[in-house]
Amino acid sequence: MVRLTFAAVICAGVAICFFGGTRAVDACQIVRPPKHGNFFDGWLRAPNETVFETRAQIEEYNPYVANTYDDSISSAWVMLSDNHLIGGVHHFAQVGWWKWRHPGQSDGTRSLFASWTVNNNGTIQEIWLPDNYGVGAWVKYEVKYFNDGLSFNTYVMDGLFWQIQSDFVPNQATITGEITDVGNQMPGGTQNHDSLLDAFYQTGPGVNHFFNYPVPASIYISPGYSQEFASSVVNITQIDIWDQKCFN
Amino acid sequence: MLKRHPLAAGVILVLVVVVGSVAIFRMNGSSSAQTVSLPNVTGSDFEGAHITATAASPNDEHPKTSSEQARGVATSGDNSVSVLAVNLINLKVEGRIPEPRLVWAVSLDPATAPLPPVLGDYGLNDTSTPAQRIRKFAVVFVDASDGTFLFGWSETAGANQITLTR
Repeated sequence: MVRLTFAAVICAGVAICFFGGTRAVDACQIVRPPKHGNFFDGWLRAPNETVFETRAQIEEYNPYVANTYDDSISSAWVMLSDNHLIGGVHHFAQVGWWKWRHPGQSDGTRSLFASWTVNNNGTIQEIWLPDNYGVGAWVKYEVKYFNDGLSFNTYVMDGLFWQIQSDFVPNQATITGEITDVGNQMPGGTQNHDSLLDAFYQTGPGVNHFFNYPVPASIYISPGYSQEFASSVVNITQIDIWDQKCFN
Repeated sequence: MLKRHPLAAGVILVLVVVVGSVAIFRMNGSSSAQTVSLPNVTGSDFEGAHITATAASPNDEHPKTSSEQARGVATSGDNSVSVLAVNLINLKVEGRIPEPRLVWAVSLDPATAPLPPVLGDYGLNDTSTPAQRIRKFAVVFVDASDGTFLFGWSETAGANQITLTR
């Protein structure tokens, strides 16, 4: 009898966890006025030398995305970039996932994407494909630079995702969440952060550096939004991000 | 002993000429496949994204889907989205689609199509205003054999240029 009761409790607990509880990656409707723009929550390394690679495993979160704007997304990605603001132009190459929703859609569409600058004049190209990994998966994203001021490869789960020709020499690595409407949820909630694991960058072929050691990465949160979005260093290779207005 | 027919040499000669001509025609056709022109997409755009798009030829297998179906996939059935062109192409993407694949390339009018946003690095510590972003092109590639969405490709001018105010 005791055994049966114990078994029933275990079964009920498991059932709640699997079927009745809130999944860590579930969307969480945010109550914030809409504002169009680019808003970040993550981490940056700028080692003052050429950065050849950055990578991280990012959890495929299922954030809430409002449909106020037709290009509304919530996303997470890794990026190589430079800090040479020449003529007001930044340069970058990035790869990651996004959830995109536009007016008329009941929920968003998930995609894998790569995005990069071209022509040294602020022009950006983007490629997006169906994301078949799905919510809750841990997916490794990686950008590599081939030391010619031009050639980059992006990888997903160690497989070549897209080869690109960009327009810069990278000296920064960034791993971050990004939303394009303040009314969207940044990936992660206060109880269930979105984790960015195995975060590394390279300053030469095979010269790997932990993202957070020996120097902690710089916080990369949009100015004025530190009360909305949060980041924490869990250990030398793990970074967590979350939306402070999501209490899941 | 086989008796040689007086016309045999002539017939053989004609056959050789015809077969040779067909072979040369097909070789030329495959080696100089016409690069497809898509609205507002330049040769350097193709090169930079490692995409090769050549016109489908009569020798290719016929698509199992229609251009209308491809148009519907690309616009998600939204009739308010303008389509600039639909091209049947042989698509290759270096390192991803190594062998030519028969694909519908649907060029959308960026002014009317819902498109994903421009992401990236805008200088977090600059109090800056993004310059006006102008979508240059948006192309959706749809598999001609089964009508599945393969990928989207877009370019936005001025997207990452900012006006410094600091």
